[in-house]
Amino acid sequence: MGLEARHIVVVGAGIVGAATALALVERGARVTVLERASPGSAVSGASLACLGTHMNSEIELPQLIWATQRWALWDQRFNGAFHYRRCGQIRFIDHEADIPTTERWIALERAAGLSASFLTAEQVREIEPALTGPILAASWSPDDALVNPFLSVRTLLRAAMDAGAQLRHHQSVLAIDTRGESVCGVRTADATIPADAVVVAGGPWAADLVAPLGVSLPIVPRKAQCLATVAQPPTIRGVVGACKSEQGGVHGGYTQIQQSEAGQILFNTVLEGGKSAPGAQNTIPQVDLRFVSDSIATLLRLFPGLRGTDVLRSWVRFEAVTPDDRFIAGPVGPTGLYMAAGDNGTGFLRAPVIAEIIAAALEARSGEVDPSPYDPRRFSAGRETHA
Amino acid sequence: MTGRSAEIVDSEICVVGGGPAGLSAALAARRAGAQVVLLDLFDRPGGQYFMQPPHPVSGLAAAQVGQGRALIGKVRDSGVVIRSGVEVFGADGAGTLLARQGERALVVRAKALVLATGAHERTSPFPGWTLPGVMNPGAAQRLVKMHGITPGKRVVLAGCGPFLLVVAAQLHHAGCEVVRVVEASPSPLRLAATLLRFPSRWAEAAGLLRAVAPLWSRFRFGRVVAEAMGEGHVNRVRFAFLDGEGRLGADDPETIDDIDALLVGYGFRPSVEIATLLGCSLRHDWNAGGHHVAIDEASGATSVPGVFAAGEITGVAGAYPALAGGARAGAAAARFVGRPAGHSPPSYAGRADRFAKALRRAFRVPYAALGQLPDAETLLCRCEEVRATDVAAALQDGGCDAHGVKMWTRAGMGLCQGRICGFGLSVYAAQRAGLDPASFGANAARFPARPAPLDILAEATAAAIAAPQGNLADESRGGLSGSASRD
Repeated sequence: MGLEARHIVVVGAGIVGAATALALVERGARVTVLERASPGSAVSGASLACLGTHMNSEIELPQLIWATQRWALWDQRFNGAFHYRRCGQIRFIDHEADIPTTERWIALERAAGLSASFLTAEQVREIEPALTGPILAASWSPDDALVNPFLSVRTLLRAAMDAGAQLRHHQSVLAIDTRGESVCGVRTADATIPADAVVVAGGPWAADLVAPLGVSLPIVPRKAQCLATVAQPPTIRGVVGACKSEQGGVHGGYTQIQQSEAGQILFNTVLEGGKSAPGAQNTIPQVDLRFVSDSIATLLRLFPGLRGTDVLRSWVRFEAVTPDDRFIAGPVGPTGLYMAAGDNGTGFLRAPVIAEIIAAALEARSGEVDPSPYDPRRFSAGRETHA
Repeated sequence: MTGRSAEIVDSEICVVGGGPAGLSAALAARRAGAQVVLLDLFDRPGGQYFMQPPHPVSGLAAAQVGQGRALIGKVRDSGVVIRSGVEVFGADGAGTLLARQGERALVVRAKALVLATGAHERTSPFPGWTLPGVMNPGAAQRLVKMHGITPGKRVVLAGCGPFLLVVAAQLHHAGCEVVRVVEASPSPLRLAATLLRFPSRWAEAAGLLRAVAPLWSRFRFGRVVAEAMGEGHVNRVRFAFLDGEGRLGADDPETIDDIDALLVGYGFRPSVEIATLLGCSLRHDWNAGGHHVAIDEASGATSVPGVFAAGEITGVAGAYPALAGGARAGAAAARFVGRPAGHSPPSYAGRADRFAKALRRAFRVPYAALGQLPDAETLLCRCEEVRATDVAAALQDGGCDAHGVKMWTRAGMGLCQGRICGFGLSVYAAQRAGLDPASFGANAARFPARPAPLDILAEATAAAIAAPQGNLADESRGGLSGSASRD
């Protein structure tokens, strides 16, 4: 079923909403994107926008490979507009116990045709000379890339608009309307907008938007924080992260360090981070002191040469977290309602996958990627039909 | 990190800012019996108004310097601990401040805070504003008063407000040739009418008028600086007339040549960074300088229990309202920590507030014209080299607020943390996209409120985490999450 003449409302102009709007408008749909603030101003704009398959998600590996290819195609299509750079990613190892874990990841990625490898500490310094801190070893994924998160959202949205999509920014969706068993539009403070289908790409706001329709989805907000130094000369070449660790299990910690094109060093280390209270996404707090302390300690341990560098700023946004760390993408509740949320802090890479899944679902065809890891029905509550 | 640890300072009350409001607050709180520490950014307390030069001062500034010296003396004698050269960069919950004094990290824990962090000069971009030799009048005043350095030999002043007169008089006294004083307000009549209604200010006004009398022929009204020109340094300036609505009108045919300094100032914006870190509610009102801290007028209480505010951060009004507001906030903070003070507002308090409001009406900043001044290539954000045309494109694409513009152009992401470009961006957006400044917003201050080295931040945060929580009333504790910014 083609999308011609269908009017589809996409709620949310983050990277997922922008990619989805582009996918839909290119398939002939009339698309309206509604955004509560400026496009990309929620967690997309706070992202470090690393596009990496490495140590990411075993079950999603085929989808992630497809996503990295799509990003590379976009880079060509948009003439480098969002500053795609294939800088590679290092995951440092602190504990002997983590070496077998790292070797397992490398093996499964290589089996999928990727080029991850194991590095000694000396080899790490050939790639990242400033990383002189005491690490045991590392893994290396040379094809991982960075994009400019702001320009990525802007470029995809601009392309969607050039193809006919309409953007209505600074307009919150107050409700999704239904007629019978189908959605029929959305309401904002200013307008009622009729729609044949509604795609909710509203990140941490997504679950609240569909709850009144009797759709209960396990998406909760989680505080995402980052720090930035003043601009430095070129110091860090790629992305530096912590390896997946057996120390402390799945919550064992998270580090990402990289240098922006403007020279600022962006870094975060989250050693303890749970979910935030419901509604936390509506107000933006300051960074936690514990977070500041842990992030600086990790940065200076790895890059002791940065000691006297000034910190310039910090930011906080809220990720949309699901129980299994995967997106919820596909039809939910009443006919014509689609979910595209649950970034779990790694939405940038996955945005083209989610867009493809939503477009295929709307066209009622099988798409280029297998949607099953993101099937909303995997959570029993998602099966409830609307009241 | 370095083996050093932060110094912990405990005090019942901590006052941030050593200008008129902060000094007055500290004195009031101390006189009520509270233990008070005052943190000030500069080498000597006094702020801009009571600035204390290291050398003797004559002329117009002498009385003001003397008045400040007397107040600082009283504050010291009362037992307030004044710590100079302290940069506050963070806050945890309402009771703990993170700071540095030189290379030492400082953690201050108090039962109540009085914020008196003053105001910044507003910088408004126009073609040529980034040329060397173009500066704010307040910066020039500090050069002259503190260091005896004049900003140039032949100087043009332009902008809006009585501060321009003060600086013109001081530069003239310091030996500069003040070639032009260009005031945006249509005529001096409204100022005269305002002054007539406040006999208490006649002596002060007469002193100022006497000081600028030799310059009277150099004054021009109802116009703004349209362009600064020069090869590597400003040496030429041209102006434009304003129409009746405060928009740009025809070009003024006059250009001034052979100048070596151009001082342009359109007033001040409240320095609300620390208040923002603490989560104090802000309001926007151009008459108060833009975004300012919302307070209960009777006590200076902000929206955060235990945090009080006074002076320019509660709305730019000048030194006398700041002194009165400081006294109110200091007494209220003392009451908050259980030191009831018999505070009686200074006799001039009401009159000073009315005078400040009347002055604001007399000097109308031409916001519309300021937003029209940049051409496509004019830098709106100097740190990140963002041109007006870049900002216009972002506004066009839906980045229709301060944060959207910042994301899409990097305006405000640089070293000044948005302090310099914030005002110009909001007046430009108002003109370009019809966005009112309140909805355009401002990029809220984020930790650290001032750039600070990694190792000092590490020491301060470690100490703040290890030390028992700030001592404020229970309901105001933010906990370690510091989830303070409820804006």
